[in-house]
Amino acid sequence: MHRLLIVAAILLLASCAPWSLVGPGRTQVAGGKLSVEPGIAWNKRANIGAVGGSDVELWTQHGPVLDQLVFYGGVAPGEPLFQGPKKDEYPKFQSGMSAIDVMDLYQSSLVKALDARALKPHGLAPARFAGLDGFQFRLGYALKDDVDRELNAIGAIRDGKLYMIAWIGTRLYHYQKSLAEFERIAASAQIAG
Amino acid sequence: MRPTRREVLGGALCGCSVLALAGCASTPPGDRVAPSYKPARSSTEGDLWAAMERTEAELKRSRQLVRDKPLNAYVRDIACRLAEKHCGDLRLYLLRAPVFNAAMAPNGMMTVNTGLMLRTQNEAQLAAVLGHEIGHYLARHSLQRWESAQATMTATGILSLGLGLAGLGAVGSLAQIAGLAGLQAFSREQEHEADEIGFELMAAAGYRPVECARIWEQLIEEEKAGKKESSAGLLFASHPPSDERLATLRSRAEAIGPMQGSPFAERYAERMSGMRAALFEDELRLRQFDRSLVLFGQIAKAHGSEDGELAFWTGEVYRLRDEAGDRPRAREHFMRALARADAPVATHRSLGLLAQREGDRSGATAAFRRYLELAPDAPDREMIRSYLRG
Repeated sequence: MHRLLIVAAILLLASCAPWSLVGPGRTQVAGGKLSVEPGIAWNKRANIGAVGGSDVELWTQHGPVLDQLVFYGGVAPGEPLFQGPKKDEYPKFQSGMSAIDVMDLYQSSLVKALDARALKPHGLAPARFAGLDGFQFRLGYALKDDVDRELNAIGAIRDGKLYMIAWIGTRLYHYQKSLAEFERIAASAQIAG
Repeated sequence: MRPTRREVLGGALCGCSVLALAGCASTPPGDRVAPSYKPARSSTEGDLWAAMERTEAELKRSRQLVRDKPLNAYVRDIACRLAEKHCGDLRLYLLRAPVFNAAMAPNGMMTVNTGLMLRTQNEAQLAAVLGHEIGHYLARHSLQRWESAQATMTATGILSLGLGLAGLGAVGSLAQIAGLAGLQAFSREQEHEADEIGFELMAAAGYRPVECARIWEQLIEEEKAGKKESSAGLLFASHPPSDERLATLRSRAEAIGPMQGSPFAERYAERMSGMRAALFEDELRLRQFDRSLVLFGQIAKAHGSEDGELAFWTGEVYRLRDEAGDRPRAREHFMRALARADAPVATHRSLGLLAQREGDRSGATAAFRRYLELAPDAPDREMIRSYLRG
């Protein structure tokens, strides 16, 4: 009886575990709104907290503090990029936004939601994403832990909704470590439907 | 008759000076810290200093630190002019944070946010805020709060209080401001005493007294405009400027001649010019449009006119807010900016984005072309070129 209770407890805990393995191979992400083909296995977060929403998904290699791969599966006008207790105060995606506006929106969201500092835009250029004419931007920033991070985001707007994949890692190591894998995943992205 | 600066600081010498080497066993109100004072490590005050020193060690590594040496020296000179004999005990840290905040910890660590420096319209207003914080320091208000809290709070609470007393709420999340403001809040009597000391230090150092009331009036105006947005900042939340406080500051200024001394507005504008664009950019990232419009209006009024840079950033507020009627307002401000020699190059880019959003293809093309001519190495040049290709 005692052993059964322990097994039941373990099963219960396992079913609540926020992390699961995903890939390699084609897989659906962000509520099925995107599909990508990772070359390696990733840790997928079930409930992604500060960066969330039903159509947003977070993967990581070494833990979300060190690196994050975030999938946005069609952010609608009026929705913020980040979730959190004060999300009503976060800047919102708007219809008619240009790539420059999206990059500004991302930076503003980082400051409002995560108190980011030392922001440094590195570049913004046109890019193909999921068969669409889109954009790619890179920027550096630090959070409250004062660790420098690099961000590389690629995306496009279709039917007024924002589809994007953002790769974030510590500048010292994690960003470069999985950059090639990010590029592979970004190149494989397809929008469902 | 108002006391001279020597008398004000003379008051600061009393109290603990005899006990300085041994540290003070208790801190009666009215006690003043002496220059070069250090508490005994084993005292309650020693514990508070140790907590502040740990915070300061972290602060030295912060990515928020503004490392511009001339600007640091300039603000430190202002603080030293006010603190006089205590100058050697004061260590200044400028923080790139868009929130209105400044604080002086009991161990002499003084932090000043760039969000404050965007809002003080002249050197006298900055001196008024620094003088007030030096007032809290001289009167050892943090120690009084620390001592009364030790008996009742948990270890975690005390740690949080330590950060609050260090005035470092803004180093944490903007979302935590309200909570930390509560920890940092001083009593009404302490605020009154800090006002009194700060006012006297400021006036004795030759700053125009009326600016002391003006900075709070400006903040109240901004706070009213931004009611639906988040708070103006930690210092505002922890130092609520009541009508009574304002009236007292105004009548003090009246009593000694409100227009004596100088606001040192030109010197302030000149020293801040290198950072101004960055601070405007930080302000815009907060997307607190109503508040920003009031602030930018105050800056234009204080300077007597709107320069090209200010016209551009005001236009940016309208372009980003994009409510009914905002596009013509944005365009008008961009055109006003471009009529002046000091318009930022990015004005052309913003005009292009505005035209693009309105479907004005030829207008967008002309503006983007001009932008690339003037900024051929801009980080977004590839994107702009793609817009030109259509």
